[in-house]
Amino acid sequence: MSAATTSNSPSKWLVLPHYAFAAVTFVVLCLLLVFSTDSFGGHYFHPKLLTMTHVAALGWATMIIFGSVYQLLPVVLEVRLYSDKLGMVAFAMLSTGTILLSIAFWNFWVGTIMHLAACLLFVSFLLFAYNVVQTARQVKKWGVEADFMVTSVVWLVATGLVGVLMVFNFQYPFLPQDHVHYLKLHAHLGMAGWFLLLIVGVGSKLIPMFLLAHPEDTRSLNWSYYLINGGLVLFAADHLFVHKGYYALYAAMVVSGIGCFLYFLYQAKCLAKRPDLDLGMKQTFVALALLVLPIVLVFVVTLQLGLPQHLLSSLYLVYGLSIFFGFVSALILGQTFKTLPFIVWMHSYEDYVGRFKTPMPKDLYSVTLLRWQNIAYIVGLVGLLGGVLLAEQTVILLGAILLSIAAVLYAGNVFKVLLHKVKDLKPFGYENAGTGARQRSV
Amino acid sequence: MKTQEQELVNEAYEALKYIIDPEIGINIVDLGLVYKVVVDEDKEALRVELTLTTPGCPMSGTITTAAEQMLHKRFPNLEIKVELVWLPPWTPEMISEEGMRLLGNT
Repeated sequence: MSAATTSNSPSKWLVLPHYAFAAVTFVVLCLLLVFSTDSFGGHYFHPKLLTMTHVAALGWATMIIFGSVYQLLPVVLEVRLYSDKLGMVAFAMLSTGTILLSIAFWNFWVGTIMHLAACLLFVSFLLFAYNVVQTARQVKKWGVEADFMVTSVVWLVATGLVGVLMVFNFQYPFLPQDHVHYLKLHAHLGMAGWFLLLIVGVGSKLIPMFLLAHPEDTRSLNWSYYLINGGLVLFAADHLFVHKGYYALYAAMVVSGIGCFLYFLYQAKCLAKRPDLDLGMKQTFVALALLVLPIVLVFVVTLQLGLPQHLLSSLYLVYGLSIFFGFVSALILGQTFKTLPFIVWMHSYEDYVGRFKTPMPKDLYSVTLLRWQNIAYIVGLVGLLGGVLLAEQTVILLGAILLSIAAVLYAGNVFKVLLHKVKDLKPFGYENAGTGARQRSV
Repeated sequence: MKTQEQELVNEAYEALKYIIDPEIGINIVDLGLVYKVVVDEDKEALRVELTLTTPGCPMSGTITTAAEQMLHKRFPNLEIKVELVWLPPWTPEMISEEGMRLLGNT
């Protein structure tokens, strides 16, 4: 039998600050929502909406994805992370850039602060991409998961580049077409290229792992990869050069790719040896179910179907919200409690295993808080989306308040895990362990 | 295998059952992670080969150390050698009947 190597885990000081920053940002994001209910009445090119979108995309989703990727990349690719230091510099730039960009958008300052923020963010993306690519270059057994992860960082850099160009174009106009044209490109490269590809890549490895399933047939994942990327490349080429406008076709390709990924997960679910799902996994399946909304809406906003302009404006907003506050947030809210307690547990107890009775990772967070978080989140999301669709500010406000409650519960639980201290460990002994002790970690 | 050696091996498996996979929540023996437990001919060393559910699992050092500590406590007079191996790759089919029951499969 071949001997194995030791753990590839990166430093906790690289991974955990991302979770802390993201948790605080999610609370700030939901509070911004509470104070911005008036901004949902018109077009999506609105300073407050641009602020919230970037707080959600950068400070919340990208931040926690960066942190998770540093931890999960070695698990998925089975190699060590190329550089912890590069990751820390990228964290400093991403956090500073997000704060500056949010302030600049809120006040619509299109000058130096916004330029600086955009440059910081773009450099942080480049550093992250370099770290991921250099890590992937060490891989001996290349799988489709690696394709997804490496390609996703290419789209992240492309999204950042379009963003930087738009920021400079605010003050020194040089782009041939209007901002909304490039905003659509920027948003879709980010949503389908960065978030979706990365989620599919990581999810196709982690979800079967958590379900104790080993689906060997990855053909549907290969189809998923080519359909999503094919749709995106054609969309970008059309948007920038060809101007044919076959957007429904490109959307159909991306949606088919999502369908292939969901089929892969369905196969994994059928093979699962772990029938009892914990709250983290249940929330993950809620997130996957929430994908239906943007899948339907992308066709509605693309084809327009002769709908009145005010309804189309609302649908555009619901489309964006259903991705950031729906699918992406739901997934993070669930997966945080599958990954974070495990990371903290590993760093806290690795020196005590085998000698002391230790708690399990699930003992590090409150299941009650998580249950209420999930309830407040789903009711809040329905309120927010319904309120925006019906243009009812009171309903939007109620939804925003419930989402804020969910965010506070989430942040409270995250910091409970992050601030966990090892204390009062009892030495392990066979004479006092009893049979019940076999269900405790030691 | 001589009866005394077999007893030692059985005791080692029983000791390893106190190590619980922190993510899955069942012990590593019923999870099928322990591939081999062998007592040396001179009965001075106990050799264990175990694996993980996935090669990239960050638990490699933790589970190996736990196995060494548990066996050392149980057999203080034996030298303990725990080796992490990847072949054959672990599959869910290696979970024991008891493991399946603990996971909630009826």
